[in-house]
Order: sequence, then structure tokens, then C-alpha cells
Amino acid sequence: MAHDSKIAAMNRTGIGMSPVDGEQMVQSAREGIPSMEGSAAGVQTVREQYISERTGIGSMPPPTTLKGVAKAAAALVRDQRPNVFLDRLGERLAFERTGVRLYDALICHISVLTDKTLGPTMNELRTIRDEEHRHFELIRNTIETMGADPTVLTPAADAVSVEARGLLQILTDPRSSRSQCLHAILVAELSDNDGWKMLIDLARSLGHDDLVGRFEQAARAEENHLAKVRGWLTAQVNADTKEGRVGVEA
Amino acid sequence: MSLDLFKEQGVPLDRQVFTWRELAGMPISKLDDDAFTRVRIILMNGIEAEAVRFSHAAARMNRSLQLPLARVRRIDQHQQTMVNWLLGADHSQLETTIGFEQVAVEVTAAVAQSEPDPYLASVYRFGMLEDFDHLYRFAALMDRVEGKDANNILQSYSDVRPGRPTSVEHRAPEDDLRNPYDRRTCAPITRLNAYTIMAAEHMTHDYYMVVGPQFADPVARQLYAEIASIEEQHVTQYESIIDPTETWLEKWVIHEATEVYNYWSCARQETNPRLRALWERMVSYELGQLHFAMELFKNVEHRDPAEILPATLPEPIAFKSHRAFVRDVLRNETDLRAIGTRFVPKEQVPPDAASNQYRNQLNKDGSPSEIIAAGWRWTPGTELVNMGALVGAEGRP
Repeated sequence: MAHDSKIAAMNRTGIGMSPVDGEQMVQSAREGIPSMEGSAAGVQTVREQYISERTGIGSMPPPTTLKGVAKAAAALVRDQRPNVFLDRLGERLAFERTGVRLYDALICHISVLTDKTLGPTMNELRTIRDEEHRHFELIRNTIETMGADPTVLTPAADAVSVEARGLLQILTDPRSSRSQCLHAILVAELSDNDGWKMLIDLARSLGHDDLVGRFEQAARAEENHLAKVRGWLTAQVNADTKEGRVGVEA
Repeated sequence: MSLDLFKEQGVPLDRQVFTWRELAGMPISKLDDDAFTRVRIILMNGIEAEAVRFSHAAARMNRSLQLPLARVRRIDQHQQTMVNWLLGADHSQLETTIGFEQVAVEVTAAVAQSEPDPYLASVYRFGMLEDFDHLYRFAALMDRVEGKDANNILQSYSDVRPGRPTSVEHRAPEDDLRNPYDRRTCAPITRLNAYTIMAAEHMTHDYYMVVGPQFADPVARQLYAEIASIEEQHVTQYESIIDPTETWLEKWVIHEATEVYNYWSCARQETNPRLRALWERMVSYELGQLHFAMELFKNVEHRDPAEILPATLPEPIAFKSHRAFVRDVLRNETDLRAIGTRFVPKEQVPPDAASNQYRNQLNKDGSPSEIIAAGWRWTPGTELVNMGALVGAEGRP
């Protein structure tokens, strides 16, 4: 069978959809002779060359407040670790702030694609959304208390923002299904959980005992988010399996 | 049935209106829609981009035409938006790139076959073999950097194998210019073909220049830099085949006729009913724009549009796989090279030719298009499928 381009609502991406054309493609690819021998190793070599010349994606800013200058000067005498801590705080701040927007987007999907038997409820989602907001505020206040600028985009914050791009694309795409959205938010929560654990370890190792307790409270909330999201996604996948649904709800 | 360009008046400009909701409509499905639906979207985005680009250039040179050009250009802008926004956000930049190269291969192949002028047909075949190679290089990039199969986009319509190697496509500017058609004697389809392919290539160039730096991977960044440079050469080639003695208004009328022809070709072959309706609406809009430009042509230049336009449109662009034709050209013309406006076997190019010196300089520190595809052959499901045994993967249970 050659292509039947009149087939509607049918996935066409696999080679099995066009056995004749597909076989011709395979044959043609076999006959083609690469213009250079070798393997993917050449790609790795170029990457290694660039990595060896790297300058990083950016740096931490100098302190901008008097309190910050004093603290930074004192810190410099001891070591550079405060900057590592501030970089990670910046990462968490960025992730929590985007997390609020991820939940805003999820709330839109769930409110339209309501399924009372499966959850989550709007209240559950709004509660988590507001907790993410409070975590953002907790980090913001912590950075300010340390005399640093919470509006800075730190290197780690920039990296997690790039990581989160795909999650935003799924959660803001009106075509995404409930299970696709819940999977995206699961990835966010998995990352968030480990992020808080790392922050607690850092705070402890740097002697910020006053912060450890508050961060542990946030981490417990994140563990709760993760457990809930896992439950919702599992229930959704089970229901989809039962109904034979793929990619779109009835 | 063909379309009578003089009889069909289309929709008047003041009734060619849009809303933001229409412009940002629901995109096509990357998974379910036919690959040629995506090909048509990418092509028509390029056609509209060229309409806007030409209109700006014309406005900068013609004070008296600035207002009429601005009126039509605003509609072109919104048409381009509505068309381009049909691509869904799940298309990665590289997936869209594969779509651009499928346009370059299949639409250029269609044009090469419909072109009655033998020299111009050879120009299209020459360019097509280069874009054919770009498709192969980008498919290798997609496999080796993103771990994805380009055939998810191509849907088995287009072969993926080397063409004229990209590394030898780099030419000195004097070897990228071609001889133009003669506006007084050329067939109507000749102008439509030239304007169509010039627009498609220009859009491809602009797209690569935008997305190239959005990649993190250094080989991807290099490859986009390299192929964008060839696309610039292609724009140079294809704009040079257009008779430069056409007046500004003459070019405007031909642009509008090209838009009618392209949308009409899309409408005739579209399999997605929603898009077919959209293409049909755009045909009627373009007819309105064509008649608006024809009136100016008559009033300002006191010339009859029938002097430059056919009464009815030629056969539509064949949006289909041109596999057999492409293979034939691949077999016979891969080793052609350009010297000035001529194509000659590579053995006839002197070693010290300007293009040789030019490309030796560019490739001095390595060729991205060679590195990415070293030893690479397209395999359904990516080359990792052939390497399972190397990592101790078990066969089928």
C-alpha cells in the first residue's frame, strides 16, 4: 500500500504507515554512501573542544546592599561557599516562581477537563499552588536577609529555567491531555523535592541552623505534593487504560 | 478546473479582515496530519514573508505607492501569521527544519519538472540536490544530538541520503549568479516558479538564522551556520533568475499572482478539511489583492496585465513525493559544479577556481556537515537501532 493521504485522525509518523514508501526509503538509505567515514565520535570531539574552552553561562553578582557588602567581605575572608548557597537559593526561587505558573496552567486544564472521580480537585490544586507561592516568598526573604538581591538570575536559576521550558510547553499547550499535564507536573515535583533536600544539606553544612527548620517544613510540603501528583497520575493512567483512551479525554 | 485570474475578482481589500483569535488558531497535529499539510504551511509562510519583504522594498523606492502597498502588506502580515501559527509548539526547531528541507526537496522537484525553460529547470535541479543533502545532514543531527528519527516528520515521502555534499556547496558569489528569464518571452509558469522558489529559500534562510543560535550543542550551531550560508547562496541564485528589468509594479502584480497560484495549489490538494477551507479563503483574498495591484498597473503604467499574466493558472504545484525524479537527478547531476552561470562536471573546475579557494577557507577548521554525518546512514528508529548488540541489548522476547 502506498500513502493514503485521506486517512483522518491517524498517527502517520511510523514507517509502518507507508510500507511501500518506507521500504524504498530504507533501500535508498542503504545505497547512499556517506561522504565521510566515521561515527558519532566526531560530534563528541567537537563538544569536548568547546567544553575545554568554556567560560560558563554566567556568574554571581557582587553584593549591592551595605549589609550584603559587609557579609560578603566577611564571607570572602572565610571562603566562597556563601555564593554557592546563594546560587542554589536563586535556583529554588526561580523554580518555585515558575512552579506557581505551572500550577496556574494545570488548574486551567483540570477545570476544563473535570473528572470528579479521579481528582485532583480545584481546591487541592489551589492549595499546592499557594504553597509553591509561599515557598517562593520564603526563599525571597531568605536571600534578602542574607543581604543579597532576590531579583538576580543566578547561574543555577538560569539552568533550571531552561530545564523547565519543556514542562511549560506541555502545561500551557491547550492540546495537552490530563495525563500529559500530570506527568509534566510530576517531573517538576520530583526535581523540586530533590532541590529542597539539597538546600537543607547546604544550609546545615554552612551553619545556617535558623534556616534548616523552615526549609524542612517546605520540603515536607513538597513531599506531600509529590505523593499527591503521583496518585493523580496513577489514577488517570488506570482510568485511561480502562477506557482505552490515548492522548485525549472523552 | 483552473482559475480565471481576470474573471475571478475575489474579496475586496476592505473585507479582508481577521481577529487575533483567528490568527492564533488551533495548530495542525504533528502526529496525525499529512506531511504535505506541513509542507504547504511552511511554503505559504515563505510566500507571505516574501510578499511583505518585497512590499517594504518597493515602498522604500516608490513614494506614490507607499499607501497602496501598506494596505496590502498589512493583510499579508496577518495572512502570514495565520499560516505560520498553524505549526504546533510540539514541533522542535529541528523538526520544523526537517519540514523546511522537505519543502525544498519536494516543491523544488515539482517546479523543476513543470519548468519549460531547460536552463532554468537545470537551475532548480542544481539547487534541489543541495537541499536534498541538507535534509540528510539535519536528519543526522536529529539522530545524533536529539535521538530522534527524521522520518517522524517526513512520513516516508522523501529519501534521506547524501546529495551534493554540503561541504562542496560553498561557492564564491560569482558562481552563484544565474541567467535570468526574459520577461518579454518567458512562459507564465516560469515567473510563478521563480517567485515561488525564491520565496521558499529566503524563508528557509531567515528561519535558520533565527533558530541556529537557539541550539546549545556546538555542532548544531555550526551546522546551522553552515547551511544558512548555503541558503543565502540559494536566495542569490534564485533571485538572479528573475528578470531585473521588470518594473516595481510588474513585480508586485506577479507577486500577487504567485500568491494566488500557491494558495490555489494548496486548496486543490489539501487533505485536512479545516485547512482546505482556509486555503480557499486565502485564494479569494489573494484574488482581491491581485485585482487591486492590476488596477494600479493599468492606471500608473498604462499597461495591460494580460501582457504579463496568463488568463488561467497553469497546473497546480504537485505536492507529492517526487522520489523517482529526485533519484534520477541524484544519479546524473550530483557531480555538477557551478562556474559562473554554467553547470559543469566537477573535473572541469580548475583547482584554483574562486569557489575552491572560498570553500577551502571556510572548511579549514573542519566541516560541520561532514562531522555530523560521518559514517551515518538513515535507519528507521535512528542509528541506535543498529547498535543494540554493542550494549548487550537482548533481541525480541
